[in-house]
Amino acid sequence: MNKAKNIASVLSCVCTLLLYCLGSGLVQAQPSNDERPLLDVSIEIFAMNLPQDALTQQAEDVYPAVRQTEARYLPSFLKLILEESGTWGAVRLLPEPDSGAELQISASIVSSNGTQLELALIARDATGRIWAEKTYTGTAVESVSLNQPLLGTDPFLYLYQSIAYDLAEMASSLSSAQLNEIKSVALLQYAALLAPAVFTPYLSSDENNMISLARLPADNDPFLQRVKQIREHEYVFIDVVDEQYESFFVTIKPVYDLWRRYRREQIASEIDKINREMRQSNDLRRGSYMSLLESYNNFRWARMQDQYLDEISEGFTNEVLPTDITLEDSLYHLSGTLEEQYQEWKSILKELYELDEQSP
Amino acid sequence: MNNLTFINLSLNKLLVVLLAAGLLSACATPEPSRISEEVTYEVVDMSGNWEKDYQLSDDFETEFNLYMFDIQRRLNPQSENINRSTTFGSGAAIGNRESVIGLARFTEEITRMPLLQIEQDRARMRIKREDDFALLCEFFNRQTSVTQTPFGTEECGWNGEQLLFMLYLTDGLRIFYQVTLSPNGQQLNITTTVSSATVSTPLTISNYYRRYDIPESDIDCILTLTRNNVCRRVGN
Repeated sequence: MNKAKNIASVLSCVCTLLLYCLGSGLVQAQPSNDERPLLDVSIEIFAMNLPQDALTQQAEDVYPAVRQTEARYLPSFLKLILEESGTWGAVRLLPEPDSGAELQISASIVSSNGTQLELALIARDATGRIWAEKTYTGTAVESVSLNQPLLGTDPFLYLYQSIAYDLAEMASSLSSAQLNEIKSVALLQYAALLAPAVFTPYLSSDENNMISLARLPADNDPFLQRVKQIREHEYVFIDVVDEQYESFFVTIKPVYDLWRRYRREQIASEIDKINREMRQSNDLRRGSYMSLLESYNNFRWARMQDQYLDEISEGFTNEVLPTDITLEDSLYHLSGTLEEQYQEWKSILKELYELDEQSP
Repeated sequence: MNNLTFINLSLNKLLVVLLAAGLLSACATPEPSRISEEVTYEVVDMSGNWEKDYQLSDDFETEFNLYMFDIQRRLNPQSENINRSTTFGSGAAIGNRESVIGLARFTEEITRMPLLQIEQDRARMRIKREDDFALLCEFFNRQTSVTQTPFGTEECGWNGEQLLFMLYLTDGLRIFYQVTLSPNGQQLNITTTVSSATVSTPLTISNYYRRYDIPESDIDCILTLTRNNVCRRVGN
């Protein structure tokens, strides 16, 4: 029965992979593909979905340190997969939703235990159109890739590829005009947050909260030029953040892979726990030194693993060295967590813009 | 004296010995008591660097000999040595020589802990030990903290001014740590009690630690992922 399930699971994964390849082909096969605008994608750090109290965490087999790591690791992987597909413009990973996102991806980790991964994901473009809203579930598949050791060896590769496939399919179903509208609305939404009075009139929304262009500002509109400039400056910071996330991903991957393998082995071993215990009692006399040592070492290993992941997470949190960004002959010194730095940077930009608005 | 009477007498003796041992251990090295749910006092600050005081700490060999002697005296008063057939309890074949020696050897190994580094704030304590996992206790709102792994459970909490750690591991292995700070704050006691499912008497080892200071450095370092340790000069 289990074997049949496994075969079905592998077949399903292979089909998904084929569909993905086919899907990418479909997007690329469009004759006007080269001229089609590529949307930028903003991925927000995944929601941890961490139960508040320790007892529930245990009941649900959730390790806070690991979950905290996953909240950054999993979107980093998705980002790499989307970049690999060549279907998108810039793919950015941010500590919070991007106010000017063309396509925003948010997800919550429903469950993750090394064997199963479940992500509740929503992808929405700037106009409010939903691209994907579903729970993606994947079963770990051990794989080895000689070509892409970083991406190809992830046991949940197929899950990410099915997300990428769904998004690529949606992108291919939209016309260039629709994609251009998304880009314009995204820019104007960003602008409206900086200067609502100036830019809100350019947008209109219907009863379903779908946003569309009411009219367009002139290309040489000085305000719009300024907004574009500010947005570029924001990207400067996001790129700094991005580098840190990428570095985090590369550093954490071996540890996290090890952790997941360990968890998979744990779960597999629980099934024949009684048999193992019986075998153990044959191998090691119950209560003997070796048996006690094995019992302690198993626990020690599990705790040290947890604590190492804790340290790694702490290391990431400490990755908040002050960032210096030069903007128009001024040097800005940002400090705090990445999230705080991002907020600070946005408020600096907003303040600068407001000053400009007031200036004659 | 028939066999039944002998067993009854032996049981009575055992109870008396256990009671006496219980009273003694309550005075000297109290058994870990139940972690209290309601704690109304301030949390004792045990933070700092600690090194083992070998003069005050139990000498393992002495304790082990006493332990063996005690077991032998209580359970096989007529036998000179504990041998493989020695059994504890009323007929249950538990506590053979291999188990007792195994428990002792294991206890010696986990109670070495020559250096400790304790980090603490109002809600959390981490006792770092060399070559071992850190004992970690989160006592926010003074609640008992429980950590579960597939290989066992770690429970901790305050009992009066003592911090208790209880490890419930597979194979019936139980380890209790009682951490107590002296009133002047210069001495730390860690009493470790180890028991297993196959030995009826737990083994308790008491270790003392004294504070030591790491020379102050004007360099402050933090761990980061991409740049490992990032250090900066503090003060001037």
